[in-house]
Amino acid sequence: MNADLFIPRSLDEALSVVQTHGAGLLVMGGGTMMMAHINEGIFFPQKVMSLARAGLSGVYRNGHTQIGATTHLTDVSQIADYPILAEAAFQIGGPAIRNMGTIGGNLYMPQPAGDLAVPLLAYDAHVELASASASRTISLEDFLAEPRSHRGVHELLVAVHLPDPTGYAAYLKLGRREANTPSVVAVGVRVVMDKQGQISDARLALGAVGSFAFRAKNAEAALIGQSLNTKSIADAAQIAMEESNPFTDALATAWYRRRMVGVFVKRTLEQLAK
Amino acid sequence: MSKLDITVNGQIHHLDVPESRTLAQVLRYDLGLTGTKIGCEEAECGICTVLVNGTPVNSCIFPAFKAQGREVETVEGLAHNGELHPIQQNFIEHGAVQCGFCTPGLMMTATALLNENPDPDDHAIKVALKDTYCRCTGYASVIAAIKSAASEMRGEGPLPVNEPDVSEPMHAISRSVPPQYVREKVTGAAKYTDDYFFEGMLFARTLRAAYPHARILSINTEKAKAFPGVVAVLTHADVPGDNLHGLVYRDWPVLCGDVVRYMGDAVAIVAAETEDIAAEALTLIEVEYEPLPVIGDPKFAHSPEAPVLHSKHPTGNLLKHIKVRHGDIEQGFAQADYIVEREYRTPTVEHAFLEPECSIGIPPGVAGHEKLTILVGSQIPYQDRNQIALAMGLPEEKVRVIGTLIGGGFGGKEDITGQIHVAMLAQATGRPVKMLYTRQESLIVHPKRHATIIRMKTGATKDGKLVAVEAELYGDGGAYASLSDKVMTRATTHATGPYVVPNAKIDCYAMYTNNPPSGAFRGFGVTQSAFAVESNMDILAEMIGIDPIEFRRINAQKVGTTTATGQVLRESVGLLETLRHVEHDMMPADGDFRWAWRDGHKAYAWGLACAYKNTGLGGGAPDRAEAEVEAFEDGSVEVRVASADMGQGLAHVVAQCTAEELKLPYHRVRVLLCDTDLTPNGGPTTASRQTFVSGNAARVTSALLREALTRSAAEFLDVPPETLYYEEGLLRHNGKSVELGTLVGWMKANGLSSKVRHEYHAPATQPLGTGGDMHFAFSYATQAALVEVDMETGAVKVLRIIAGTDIGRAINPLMLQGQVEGGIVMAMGNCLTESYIVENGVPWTNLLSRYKMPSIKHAPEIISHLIEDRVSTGPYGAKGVGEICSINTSPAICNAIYHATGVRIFSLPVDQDALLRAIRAGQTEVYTAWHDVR
Repeated sequence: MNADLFIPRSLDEALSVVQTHGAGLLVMGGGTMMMAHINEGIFFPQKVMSLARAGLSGVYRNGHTQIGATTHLTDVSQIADYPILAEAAFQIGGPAIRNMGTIGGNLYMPQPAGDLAVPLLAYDAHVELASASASRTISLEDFLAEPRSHRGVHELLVAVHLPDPTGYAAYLKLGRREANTPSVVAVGVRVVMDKQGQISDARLALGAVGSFAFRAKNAEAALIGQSLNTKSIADAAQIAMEESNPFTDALATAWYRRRMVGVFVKRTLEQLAK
Repeated sequence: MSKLDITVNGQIHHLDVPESRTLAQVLRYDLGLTGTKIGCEEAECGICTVLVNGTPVNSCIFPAFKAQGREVETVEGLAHNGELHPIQQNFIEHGAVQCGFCTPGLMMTATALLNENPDPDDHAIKVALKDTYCRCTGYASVIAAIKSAASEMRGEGPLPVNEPDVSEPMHAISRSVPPQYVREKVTGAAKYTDDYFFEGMLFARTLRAAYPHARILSINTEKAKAFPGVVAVLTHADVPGDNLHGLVYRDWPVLCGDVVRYMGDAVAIVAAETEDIAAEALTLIEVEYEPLPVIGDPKFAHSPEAPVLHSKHPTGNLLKHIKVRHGDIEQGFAQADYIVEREYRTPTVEHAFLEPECSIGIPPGVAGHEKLTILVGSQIPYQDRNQIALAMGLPEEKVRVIGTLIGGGFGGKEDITGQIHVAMLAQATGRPVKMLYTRQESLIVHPKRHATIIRMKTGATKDGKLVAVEAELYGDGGAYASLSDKVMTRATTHATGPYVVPNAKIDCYAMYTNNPPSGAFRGFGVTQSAFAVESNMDILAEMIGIDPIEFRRINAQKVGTTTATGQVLRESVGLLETLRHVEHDMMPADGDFRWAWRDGHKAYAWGLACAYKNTGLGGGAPDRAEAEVEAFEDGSVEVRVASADMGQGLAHVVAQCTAEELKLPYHRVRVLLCDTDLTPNGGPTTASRQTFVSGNAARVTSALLREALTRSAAEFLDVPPETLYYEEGLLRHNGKSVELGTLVGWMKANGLSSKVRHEYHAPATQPLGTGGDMHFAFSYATQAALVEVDMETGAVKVLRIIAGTDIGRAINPLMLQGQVEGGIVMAMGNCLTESYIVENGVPWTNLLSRYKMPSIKHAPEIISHLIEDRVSTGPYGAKGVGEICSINTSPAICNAIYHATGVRIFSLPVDQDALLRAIRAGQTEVYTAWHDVR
């Protein structure tokens, strides 16, 4: 790597580097993708800032849960209160990758990588963005949907915030093979049941089947008021398939991805029904 | 530069390093701890794994500054005071070390696992090691080693080694002795080419072609030459001798001057003070091209519209037309009650050996070398020397090639890569020059397994006898000949399968294209034709209404069979035995065997396939190896042969042969391999030939040394020579004995030599088309695959492989089993995931992350039977193993997929996307592969 390297020791220092160098700066979390791309000759950054020493890692409980942007995937995989977030983190790479990769970096990964957005959407996550002059907290949904060009070049993702989890959740990912592979589809669901066993609230998040991870809101709506049975599951799976906007890449065709949305929404909901 | 304070293996280091350096670079190049290997720099292969504060990281992408103030553990820190760590010891005991290049990464990942989980089961091990590749072992031995180490560390003692059953163990033969250099490999002391450093060494890079096919109009190197730190920039004009190399046809430019024919072509080479400077200088070389039409596939290459790639080749783009004619094809099909004709496709496949190519050139008079010396991990050191000498315009005696340890080869390290370039740069600069390929460069440059299109027509009678095979094969030879002629010949001659086929007409067209060249790859063409042969066999069996195993048994080659090339098989045809063992193990205890069954959305099924593969070069090529064996006064013996050990274990095979002949303890035999000044020529390490040819060379030469020693001992002890016998390093006679070392001392004092050199000639063979013995031995195999197909996703999982492999004799049963297991998992990649994708001459698979090979999570249960049907001319009856274990896995899996789903696969690798589409549409045939969906 032949680049100027910035290693800020605090968030303020990091924000000031961002303020000064702006658009020409490559911001690196764990570097699992960036460093590989630099070594591969895909990226030739002139300026790189590593957040490794900026003090942005850690999991805090304070009315809700806050996960620092540079918290390693290994640590995310041990957050027992959010089992499908932990599960999704655990399924990313081997231990070495999880010891380097960060939750913040993962949210910047282009699809079909970046699995963590799926369980985080299911848990109604918000992200905290900061610049030298201001900070804002927006829903992860809005963050993912926000065109990159709209994001301030002077902004950093500082933390992920999660409300206390309710209901039951399930997560499944299909890869092209069993290891070392981005998702063909990733599905995260969370449902809250009322006393009658009917769904009062539902989240159904899909990854790798659109230009960013998203909530299948029509499928969510279809689940409300239903119990989890063969028909309601099949209906939700069908609607989620229609809602997805898959692409063809080296891993799978759009046709296949759409079909797998159906299969894996069904399988996650069946897990919950058990 | 910045200060870096790190503790490595308990030792504190204060360094000044560029902040941008990775931890792997600091460890290897600043601290000289070369046990940590770099395989891809993409965090894809995992072999660079080290521990930072106890947790594993991929050091190739880990910025060194992040290790500031931390404790780093590397493979060098595992052993304490010379005593191996249980993980190291168990990797040795369980045969989990082959080439050794990935071993440090596997062991460090395992160390971290066992620190957290002292009693991991198979699943826990697979989850922890899922991103750490090993291309040699097939992972079964790795899992066994880790479980055993865990048991030992818990104080429960190591677990028993899963040693295969073999017959008639001898003194050193058929014994599972540890491989040579294995201690060095588990401690990180083993040196591969990039682990060597010399005073004043320069670093070199190569400028590759910008187009798959173009005319070069001009090359301007002035700016690059003027760049600070650049010492030399060379082009075609600077090649001192012949600007062509090639193993069979010399058609491959050392440096291109007029035309480039594929993206891996070399246009200029740079030597500079650092690697970064060399890389930067490449961007300053200006090359003007005129793009030319590209030939992207072999069938187009054969058409009249295609441009001619090699104007000097007499048959144009047709590199070679290979023909097999046997019996009368029309009469044959006239006798057939059933005929099946299908077209099969196989993709280009990448070796993905974990050590990227590296060469070091040392000019004469430097670093103690009298000659121009090249260090390289090569499969064919003497051919390297020949090709370097021709390009350098030097006599061969002025060039020395020293073979280093090889981090995997599989056929991919037979051709010239950087050897000539470093020779040129060393000579031009007067300094040692190292050229290490990046993984991305390696992927683009070296020859691969041929993509093929195979049309195969097979006829059989209603009682299940094969009567005719007609086949047409197209092989994508790529831009240069490499070994296409030989590889596609093997694909052609083996295209009847291991069966009695009285009538055959087979035509193969090896074509030049603008894709990366194709060359040798484990299986040598037979992998491809076996897919077509064995798929057709199952289709026919179903048409006839006969059990697929019975159909193969009826037609199996036996002693007395005449092959389609006219060879009468006189001995060592173990096919039926392999079939018997595999069939036995497929049968459940209650005897209620089913080929297929369903459980919910999962379909399960068995599939079976057979194969055979020649041992040795054959086809009339003189096949010889020379060995030198010398006894020393310390009672040790050294055997020298220039044959490569790329992990397959040639070194222990020759050591075992020598130990056997001299009845020496194995540990007293040393092996020196691959130094063209010190070791005689063992020929190429290819075609499963080294156990046979170099094994025989070591055996015969050692026997000659034994005779010389016996004569001297008889004189020394004053007893008749015929009464002397050898026992554990002693020569004995009726209570009298002399230590081997003492005898050697006496011989030296009396002017007698304790060194013998001898060239072994393998039995003569005949060229294709002349009849007679085209090969001196064949190995045989049957494999059955149990697969699980998810009928909702099309995903295919191989649960179990039962393998019967006839290898004549298992010289080293445990390491041989490692060959079988590794061959099977590699073949699973060939079947299910691997495809090197080239789009109109431009490789898409230019990153390791784009090449999907099996990881430990794919490793199936493997039940391996070694069948020892001796071949009289082999060393103690042995024949080749390296390839036979890797040929029929793909058709076995595809036959199982058919039984499970009713869908037959005609194009590899199996595409779960296309498979699901066929399942849902009720189609029974799939002609698209994974790469086609892109």
